Amino acid sequence: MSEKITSDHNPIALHRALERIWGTRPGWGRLAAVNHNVIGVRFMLTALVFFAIGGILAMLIRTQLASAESVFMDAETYAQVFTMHGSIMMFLFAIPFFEGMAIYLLPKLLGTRDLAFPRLGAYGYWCYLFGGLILIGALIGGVAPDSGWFMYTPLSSSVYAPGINSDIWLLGITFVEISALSAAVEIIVTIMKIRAAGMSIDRIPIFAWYMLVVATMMLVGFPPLILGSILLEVERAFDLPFFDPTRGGDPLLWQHLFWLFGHPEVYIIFLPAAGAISTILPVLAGTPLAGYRMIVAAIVSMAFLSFGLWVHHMYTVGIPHVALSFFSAASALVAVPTAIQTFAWLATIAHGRPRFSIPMLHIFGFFFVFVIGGLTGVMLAMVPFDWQAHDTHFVVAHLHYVLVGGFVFPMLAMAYYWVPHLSGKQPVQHLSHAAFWMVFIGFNVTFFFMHLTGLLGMPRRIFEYPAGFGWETLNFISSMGSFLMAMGFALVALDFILLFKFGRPFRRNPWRAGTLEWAMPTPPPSYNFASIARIDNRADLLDPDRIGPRLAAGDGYLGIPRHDRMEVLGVDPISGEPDQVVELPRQTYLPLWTALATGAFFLLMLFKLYWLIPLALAVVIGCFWLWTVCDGSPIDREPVSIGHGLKVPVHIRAQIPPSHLAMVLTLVANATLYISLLFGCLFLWVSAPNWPPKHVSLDMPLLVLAAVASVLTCVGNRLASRRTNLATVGNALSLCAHLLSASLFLWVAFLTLPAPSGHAAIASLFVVMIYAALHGMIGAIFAAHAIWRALCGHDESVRSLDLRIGRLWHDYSAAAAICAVGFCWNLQILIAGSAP
Amino acid sequence: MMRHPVLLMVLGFVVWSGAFLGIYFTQATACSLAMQNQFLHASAGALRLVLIGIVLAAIVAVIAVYRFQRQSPELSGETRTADFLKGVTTRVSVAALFSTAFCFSGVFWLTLCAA
Repeated sequence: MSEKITSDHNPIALHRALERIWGTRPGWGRLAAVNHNVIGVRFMLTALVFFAIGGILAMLIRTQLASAESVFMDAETYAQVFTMHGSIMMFLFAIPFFEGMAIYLLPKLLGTRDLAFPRLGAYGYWCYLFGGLILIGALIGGVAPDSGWFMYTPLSSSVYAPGINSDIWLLGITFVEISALSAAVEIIVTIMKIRAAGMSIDRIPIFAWYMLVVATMMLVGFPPLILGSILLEVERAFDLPFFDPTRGGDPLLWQHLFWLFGHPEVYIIFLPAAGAISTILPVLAGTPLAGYRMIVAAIVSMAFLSFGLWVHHMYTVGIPHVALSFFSAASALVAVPTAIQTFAWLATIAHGRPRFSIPMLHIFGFFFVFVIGGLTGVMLAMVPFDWQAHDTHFVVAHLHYVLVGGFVFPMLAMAYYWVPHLSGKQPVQHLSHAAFWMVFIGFNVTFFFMHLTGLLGMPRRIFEYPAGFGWETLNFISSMGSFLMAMGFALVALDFILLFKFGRPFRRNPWRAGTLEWAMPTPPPSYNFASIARIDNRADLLDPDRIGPRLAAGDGYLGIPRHDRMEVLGVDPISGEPDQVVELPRQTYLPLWTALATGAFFLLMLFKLYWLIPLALAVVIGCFWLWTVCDGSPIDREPVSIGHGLKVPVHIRAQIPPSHLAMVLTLVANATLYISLLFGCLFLWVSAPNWPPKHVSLDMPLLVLAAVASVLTCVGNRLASRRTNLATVGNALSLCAHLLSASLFLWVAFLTLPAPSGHAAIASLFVVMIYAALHGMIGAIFAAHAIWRALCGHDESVRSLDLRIGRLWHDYSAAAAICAVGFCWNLQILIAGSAP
Repeated sequence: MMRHPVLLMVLGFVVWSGAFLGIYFTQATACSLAMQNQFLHASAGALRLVLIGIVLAAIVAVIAVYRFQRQSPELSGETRTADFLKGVTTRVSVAALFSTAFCFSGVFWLTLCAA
């Protein structure tokens, strides 16, 4: 097929052509933006707005606690304020900010033009924005969540929180988490597949290693929280008693699920910041990062260890000594990889000639604050000390030292380092030093003294305290410090406003960095690079001043726009050699419409309009289906030229295209949720009171038939893949088998089980069957889509990507169905065996 | 057989994770059953032996994984990339081995079911 060349080798014409293809349209067209520059900046700016709101709430908290027996707020208002402060800072600020930072920076550092799934990034942003607005709307309306940011049951259960407040948290946060999971998938796939040519796995920038680890942690860490939120919402809405001890539930199940997410969350927040430091520090020190391999090994180890210490938030709930020792040991061990990174940074400074610029000042602030937070963390990891300090203000001080030290100071360092890239301007004023010292001093005054308040026994989460316990002076000092810190942040904001307004322009690479984001004009064009580089060294030891002009002249790969397509290079994950051209989708309003439909689903849940929910779900599915309709062309194309004499296939004909990997990752997250569910149900059997239920009998033949039907779906898919002439028959078999399997699970769940509200055991069986049925229904949609493609004349023998993605889902659904039947059978036996 | 070098890299810690789940699940389940059936003291010795067995098996498994990694063709080439992957994998596996031995050592002497 001939290729229409839309630009000659004139660099100016090339830039104009690329800008026309990649650029965001003006006016309402901005709502159709999918470009990572736009989405990344939107994420960061929105997160900063939420940070300001969370900060104002913190001021209200400190005003309330500044004096004993304060009447500034009543208990109900205080509960809403401190719950929203924590929820906003964790879910609406910290995670989305680094997501935005990664979305903005990663393609540039990796030497490419965009992320692997631009529409997914845009959809994630809208979900984040709408979810956040639901929470802020509730705050303004006086019905904000009020059970703490950790939402412990039974305080958050309908008995003690009958209003809509807890539902807003459960649904709003789950809505927001969609953006976190979508970002995780997008980040992993981008790092593995979308890079500059020659960027082998040992050459990727250290920040990409950090983000690869963080995104994988998110993929495994968030599903337990989402599961917990679903189970708690199901309990509140439909009375399925997962957390009600009078009916075989256990409040501790919530704590396990929450902290299984909650502790890795600390590292999910810290590691991107650490990645930024590992990127910035060598530049400011003028020497390569010390211990690159050791740091990679440390963060991989840290990721695993961080999942083995969630119970250190639960030392006082009555867990046997030996089990406590596992978590205490893991809590202490995780300090080792953290220390390795810290010593690597110190070694880098020691080897170089550090520049004491503003980013470096914030890095030193980070060192001071984070090390203190780490040391108090080791103290709290020790069970005897934790028993003394548990639920006191000592813990509040510790977590702020870790989170503010581990995230906010590095965030400010990276802001001062990369805002010139974003704005194309450098600062001319001198507010930055004063702002740093106000934040630094204010922070330490606030939270250092809070350690002492805690050691004197002041519990956390109380809205007032009596005089005479020796807490007044320390609390007053903390409150004064917090106001100083708030003024410092205001000064930082003013500093950046002045920079954007009056900053002076600069030529490329003001920090003399060795990373690829400086090998482009600043502010960056929508396509980042006019052509894609081939690199021959580690991606933080390059010469952007030499590479940039050559890429701008179209001297790299994909230097000629083709058919107005948005093209990036896909590479082998290990060698970094190009193995495909990935055609990205153009600007579209679909992410916005899909997010609005998803939001409608959550709002209908919130207002208990359950009869309308199937309609909302149908709209969501319809919107996602439209995504696939817009994808690619229905005809086959031969391998295309990428320049320098190389030809590679387009992604839809490649062996491992990005979307295939994305589906694998999605299933990993899904499997984590499922395993958490099965273990959670078994946990109830092991530890919950009022077990076993009186009598449970299952219709096992029907369940076995459902599992057999689910296996048939895999057979149908393989038939369709191997015999082109049987594609429709094979997919029809998959469709019918999925529908049969789902119907049987639903039949048993709704018509043969006793009422699931009667006991947590029955609720567990019910939910596991619904999970299997839901997968059958989604599988039916995959099969129907494959039939539609076959009927439209798509040649599935060559371009089998959709079928292969469908196969992953069919196989997973079959495995899930078999596990569901096995689980039901086992639980039935366990219940019968433990009956009195 | 899973052969992706990045997945090979984390195999030691995958064993650690499995051991963590297995040990915690075995301990919690056994204690729950023993308490329900009033034979806590009689079963404590057997439970300790089982847990020690799992810990030792996990240590052996991590060592076996390390040997498997060393012999894996993906990590034993002479290229710069293979050298990098081998270096990182070795460090991660050593960390996994130490973590396995350190985290679960409590099964040798701590009370098994008493809170």
